[in-house]
Amino acid sequence: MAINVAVAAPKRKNQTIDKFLPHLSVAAIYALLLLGAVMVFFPFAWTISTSLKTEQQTLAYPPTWVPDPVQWENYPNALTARPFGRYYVNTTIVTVLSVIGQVASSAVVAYGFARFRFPGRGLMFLIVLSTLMIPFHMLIIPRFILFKYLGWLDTFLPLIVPNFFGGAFSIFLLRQYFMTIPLDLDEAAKMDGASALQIFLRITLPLARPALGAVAVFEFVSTWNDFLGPLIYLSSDRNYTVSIGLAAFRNDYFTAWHLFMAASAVAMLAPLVVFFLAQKYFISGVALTGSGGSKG
Amino acid sequence: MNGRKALCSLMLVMFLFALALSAAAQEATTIKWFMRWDQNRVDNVAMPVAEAFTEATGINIEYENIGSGSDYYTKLQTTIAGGTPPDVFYPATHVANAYASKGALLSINEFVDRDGIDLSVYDPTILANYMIDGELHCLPIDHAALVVYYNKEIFDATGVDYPQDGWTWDDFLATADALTLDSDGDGVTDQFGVDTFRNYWPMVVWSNTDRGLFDDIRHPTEFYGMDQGVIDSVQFVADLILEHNVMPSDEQRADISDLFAAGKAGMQVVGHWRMQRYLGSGFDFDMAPLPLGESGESVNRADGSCFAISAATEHPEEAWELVKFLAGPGSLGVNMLLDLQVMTPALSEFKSDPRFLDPELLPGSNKAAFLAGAGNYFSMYDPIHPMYSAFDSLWKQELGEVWIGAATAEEAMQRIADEVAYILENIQDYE
Repeated sequence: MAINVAVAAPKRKNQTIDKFLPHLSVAAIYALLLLGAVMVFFPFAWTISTSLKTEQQTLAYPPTWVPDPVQWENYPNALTARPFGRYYVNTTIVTVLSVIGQVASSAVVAYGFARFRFPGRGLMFLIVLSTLMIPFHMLIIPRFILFKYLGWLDTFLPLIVPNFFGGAFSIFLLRQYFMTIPLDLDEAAKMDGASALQIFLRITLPLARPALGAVAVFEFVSTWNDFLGPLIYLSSDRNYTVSIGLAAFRNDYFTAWHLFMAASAVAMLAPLVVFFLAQKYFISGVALTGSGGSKG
Repeated sequence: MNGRKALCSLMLVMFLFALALSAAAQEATTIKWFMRWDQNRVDNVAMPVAEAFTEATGINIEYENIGSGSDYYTKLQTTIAGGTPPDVFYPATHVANAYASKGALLSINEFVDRDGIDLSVYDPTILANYMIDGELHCLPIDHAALVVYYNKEIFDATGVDYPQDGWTWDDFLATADALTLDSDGDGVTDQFGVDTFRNYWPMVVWSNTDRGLFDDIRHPTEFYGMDQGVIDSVQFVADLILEHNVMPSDEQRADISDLFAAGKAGMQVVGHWRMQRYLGSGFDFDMAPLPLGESGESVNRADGSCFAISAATEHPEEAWELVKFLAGPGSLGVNMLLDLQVMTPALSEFKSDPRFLDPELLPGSNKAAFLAGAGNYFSMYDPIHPMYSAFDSLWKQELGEVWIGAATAEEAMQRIADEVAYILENIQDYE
């Protein structure tokens, strides 16, 4: 009897644990996610908080979270301190055309690597991938000289046109995705008389929408936030992008944090909207590549 | 018929004349002026000066401004390397010298002689910063003189005497100590004696040793890092943080850009460029000269910024006219900057100007503190040599350990001295 009790008790205990274990693991996952969300949200909340402070409050020691009084006028003040309307238009033109160029050209190249057999294919793909290893800073001066001879300095062309020649990261991502699409579909289309171009446009591309979306989102965020490219290639105020406009609020000795954060919060809106509209593509892109979206 | 011919001829002549005029108008020279000023100086000096210059000379200006120094130099470096530099730009002392040594700056000796510019109106030590082998490469506009700003309200509240001319680093420490408070007794400092100034450690070295860090600022062959005066100076600065707790550590500053402006530090060691900010802080403040060290000599900074002309400019004459307009004797540029209270001028004539010494914005203040140390000016960027950037990275890395107490000044200076010895042995690689 004593033995029965001794055996039965752990069983009940195990059953209880088994019953709560899934709940516990779900709770742990949620707790971790919540912690991650708080960590990600923290800088954003700080941006909003600072954007509503007076200049003196931004210097307060110890720092305070809640602006008092709330300075809503920081937003109009920041956005009228520089011609941010024009900067937004410029950034939108550069970003939209860059996204179109990057997606279109990378898809064509990636399709070639994924579907066609030709001599040197592996080597060429290796060369494309190896361009990811070249730091951008090494290319600044050669590119600048090239664009100078083309007469493109102080235009949007240096920021847009290179995207029409593909990007190694995008090509890699799309190639991997194209390779997961069964060849049988291509064969079936061929039997129905479809050309390679038709197969690409009508079969492969529609099926690769998640990957194309991911490439588009990565390119959008990267181009929208790009600072170094516009800094180097643009020199007229009328051509500046938002990232250059934001830099006007800071110098070596002083940053007008309240205005900087107000303008930054508005500048964040476009990538934020794009992210929420296309987050499933973005997440699938991360899942596809195992990366956070850094672009070479 | 003859009348019609004459009319046609007249119209043709007028047409050609109009064409010529239009072509002349199109050919009006435009020069590029590239700056790194804050928006205040852009709006109140750069724009009006550019307009006045165009009106006076008929030369157009294409102005570009990047406020952050690192971004500014990234772009400047790229445009110089790419063969499309701006005609006139604004390098700091050590950058001007690095570019001049690479042949990127136009020597202005010829222009100075031709136009009879009297260089004696510039402080000689400051002007010498921009001379390489007898060639002047730009006109200085300011020098980054340091002072001790002090919050009079904090001094009054804590019953501490205001700093006096001739005070020493010991007086400075005693003052900072008296100003440092833990008001609520929770073990956390609520008010520091002085905000951090550790990157200005060479200034303490000069005051103690009355010399720079190298034997020759232009052609260094020996580094004085292992001199006891240098080691003690660095340790003194570190101890303000680590031992005396009168200066905040990075952790204690919590990334606040200026504790003095926030009213949480009684003193601040910095230059003229912060004055506008303090004027807007709403508290009563004044300036004191830098404390005296072991040498007993008052010292200060000679380095600053200047207006330089690119060696690759297609418009050297026009560029020189702009440089004169900005930084020449009696120039409009310096005049306008004086009114803004943003710099200590390099031109001696402006140092005694009442707008500098006794500005309406700061009646009765001790602006003369910025002029202390004349005759004992040193460059914060020492040596003025292309190897400076390597030395700069080195000391920032090694002294970073000292500021957090992970190394003593002696240990760090020994490591720096070893590395510098190697650099000096191979100095031709940097030239």
